Amino acid sequence: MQMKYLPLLLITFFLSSCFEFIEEVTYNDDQSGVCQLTINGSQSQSRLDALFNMDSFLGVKIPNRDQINREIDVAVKALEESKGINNITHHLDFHNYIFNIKFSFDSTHHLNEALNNVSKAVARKNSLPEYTLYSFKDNLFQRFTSEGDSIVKAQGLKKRTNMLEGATATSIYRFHKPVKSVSNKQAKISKSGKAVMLKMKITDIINNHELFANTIKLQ
Amino acid sequence: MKKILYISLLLISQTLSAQNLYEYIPESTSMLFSINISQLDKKSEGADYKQLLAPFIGKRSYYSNYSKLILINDLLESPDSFAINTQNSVFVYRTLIGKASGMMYLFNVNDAKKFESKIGKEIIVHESESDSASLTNELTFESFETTTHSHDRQREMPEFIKKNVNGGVLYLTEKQVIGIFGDVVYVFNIERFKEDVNSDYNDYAMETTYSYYGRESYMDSIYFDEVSAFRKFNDSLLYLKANAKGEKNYRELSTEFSNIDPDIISRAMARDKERKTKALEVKFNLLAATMENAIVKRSSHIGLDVNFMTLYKAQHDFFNYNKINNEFASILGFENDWGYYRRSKIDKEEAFKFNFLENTSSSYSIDFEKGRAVMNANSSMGSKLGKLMNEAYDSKQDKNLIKYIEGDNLLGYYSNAIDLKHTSELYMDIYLEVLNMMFKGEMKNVPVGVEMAWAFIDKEKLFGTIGNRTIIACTGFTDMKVNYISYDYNDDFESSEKVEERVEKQPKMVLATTIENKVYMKEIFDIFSKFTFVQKLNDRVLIIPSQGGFRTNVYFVMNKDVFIITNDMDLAINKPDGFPSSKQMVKSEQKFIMEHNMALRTFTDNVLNGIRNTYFTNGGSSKWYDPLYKNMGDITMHSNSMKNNTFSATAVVNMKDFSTNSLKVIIELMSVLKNVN
Repeated sequence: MQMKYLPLLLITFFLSSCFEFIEEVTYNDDQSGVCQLTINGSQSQSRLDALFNMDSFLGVKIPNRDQINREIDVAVKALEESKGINNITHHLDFHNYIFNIKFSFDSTHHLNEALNNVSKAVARKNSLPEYTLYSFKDNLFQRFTSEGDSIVKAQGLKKRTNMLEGATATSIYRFHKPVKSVSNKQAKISKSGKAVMLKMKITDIINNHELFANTIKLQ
Repeated sequence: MKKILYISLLLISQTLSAQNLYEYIPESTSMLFSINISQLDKKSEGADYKQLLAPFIGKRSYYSNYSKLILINDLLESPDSFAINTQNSVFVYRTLIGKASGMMYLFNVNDAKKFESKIGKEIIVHESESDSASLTNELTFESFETTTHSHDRQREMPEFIKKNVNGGVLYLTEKQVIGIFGDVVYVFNIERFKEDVNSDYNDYAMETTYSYYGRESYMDSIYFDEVSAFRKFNDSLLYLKANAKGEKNYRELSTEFSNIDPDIISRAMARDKERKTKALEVKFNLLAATMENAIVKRSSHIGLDVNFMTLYKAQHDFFNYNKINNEFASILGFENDWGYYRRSKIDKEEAFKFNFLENTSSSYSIDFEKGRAVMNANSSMGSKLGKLMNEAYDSKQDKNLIKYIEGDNLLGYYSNAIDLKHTSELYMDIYLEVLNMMFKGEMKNVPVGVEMAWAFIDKEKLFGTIGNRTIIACTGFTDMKVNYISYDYNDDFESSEKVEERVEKQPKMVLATTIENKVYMKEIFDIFSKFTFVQKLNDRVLIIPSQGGFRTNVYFVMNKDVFIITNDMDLAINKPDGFPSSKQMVKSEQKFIMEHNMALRTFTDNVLNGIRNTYFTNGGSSKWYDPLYKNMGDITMHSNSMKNNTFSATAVVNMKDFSTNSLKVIIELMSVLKNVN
């Protein structure tokens, strides 16, 4: 789960209410595609309203809207400067607390690279380890996870998982060919057979990151 | 017989001396705290109560020089090892001694020698020569230079100069003086010290005060003269050199030209060191002379103040006493020549002559009893101020307001019945007096302008419409429907947004205030209804609907005699005559409100139950919640009747268990809340 790429997630982690993280990757037949990342904190509007009026909460500084906008700009800039990435759009809705970023990529390799670039740009560190989140070769798509990939772990928030009750993470992968099999038993295949969706509780993923991993074989 | 008499007299005098520590405190002291260590020690049962006192007794400063000093915390940490007499109170007060102003800690010791010996172990002491605090060869500038911007917050061994004076001994450093005079000890933390210095120091001071980038403190006028002469000499040499060799390397020449004879620099540095040493000597001598008589028994001491003595004799665990007149002067910078006093041009004598604030003092005391902690606040006024306050408090709460407060699940309320018009006159008169003192000469037009603007205001309309009698209450939690966005997915997992509804709990807030003048109120209500963000529901109810970050409807209701602001829709729309008596607060609570100009109560159990039902819906809890729920009872506050121009109020924090030691419980709860993470 690419939690570390969006600083907004830091705020949402402190909610004792619900939010959704949605990751969508849609592939064309030439292995280019579109990636869309969404955070929906709409169910926690009133708590987020209160949070944004605070300077800090439980010892963590709460960013204001300008700071969040700036961080998103940093992420967008990192994407713009990444090879093979185009058509970048983003949308920040501070009323409903829905944040969304979408871009097209020309290869899975460049997709991984771009996401790593964003991670480094937002963290302001060039020395972060590189992660391969996706692999797509020979009709085999893989979504990898890593324990070190988690902001929750990085911030030492594992003990506060009770605050993330109700939060969910959803991955949707769409392909140009029908899906033959999926390794993750919790994942669903669409009626058309060309899309796979997996929805998990974030608290479960924190305790076992592999629950969000998936290997999808195409026909 | 004579021996017995002599010993008795000695014992009595020592006892008297120990008990009457207030005789050393000037009558003009503006702000004073008294800490009864033995009572607090006993009641805390070993818990660290100093965290409660931190705002008053000071804590480690950001500045590294403070980290080097003996802190009062250190003394209170182990009073026995310092031989502090805990049977007597420790006094902490702000004072001005000569040109030094700061915070004074005054206390008794059982054994002065033991105290001095302990001090000697805690700090590095340099013995001074007999009558002057001259610097020895052992001392370096590092001993005394303050590094106010140092990031080093490690506690270092401070270095003091010891000086024997008449009747006692002083330990001095730039930021602190410790004086030991018999069994009376003071620790004075210097906040400002304006020293008189000689002309050499002035030269040095000028250079450092007006130094600019690149200019070091050793660069005095002699240095610049020498450099100038050196350059002129060098210039002629360079000319010869350049012409002899046909030198065209101007950069090299320029570099050579800008070099300075190192001897010039080292001589300048030596002079600088000498200046600094001398300046510091002057400073320390002045400080020692100033502090020698810092603590003496005074004919005009704080014990002559009746209000102070009332507090003192009551033997509170802790009390604070302020003389408003002196407090004002202090705030205006009388104690500080660089402060507002200078800028405000207030004459020193005038600073003590605020007519309005004559004979005015305020205090609060805290006592930790079994099952409760009690705080009493008092304000004593002179005749002029007292008369106005009496008129302001000659008001009773309106019983009509009570019926608009739903009593079923009351979380807390605050009730207020004060004649605002009188209090406004009061504040304006004080304000004008201050302004007239501050602005002299041509600037005198400023207070006149303020007075004129005030004259134009219709005070009857401003203060006579609403607000003199008010109750604010939190009457429980209400369900509020909130829309949120979620997603539907089709067969191909394409998402579409949909609006869903959920129910959230929100605290119900009510502000009910008596309408004093219906005609004025109607006028204002009608004008308010014209705002574009206001919707008119009917002739008596306006709504500001939820918008932006404010996700609740706010209702403005004008009933026949009461004006209400609330987010409780039921109250606003369906209860024009309030709640039936069965739904109102209990009679004892109503009586409590009616008996006092100001009354406050929080129903802690209701608050905590509400929090649990709202935020811990999965049966979870929090580290802070359980101890709070187990121990904390209700919190109350009420004003008392004005008597002899004295206004007072009492606040009580109740424990659930009346036999429990309130100080210990409060300290434990504070630790829990502090460690919430």
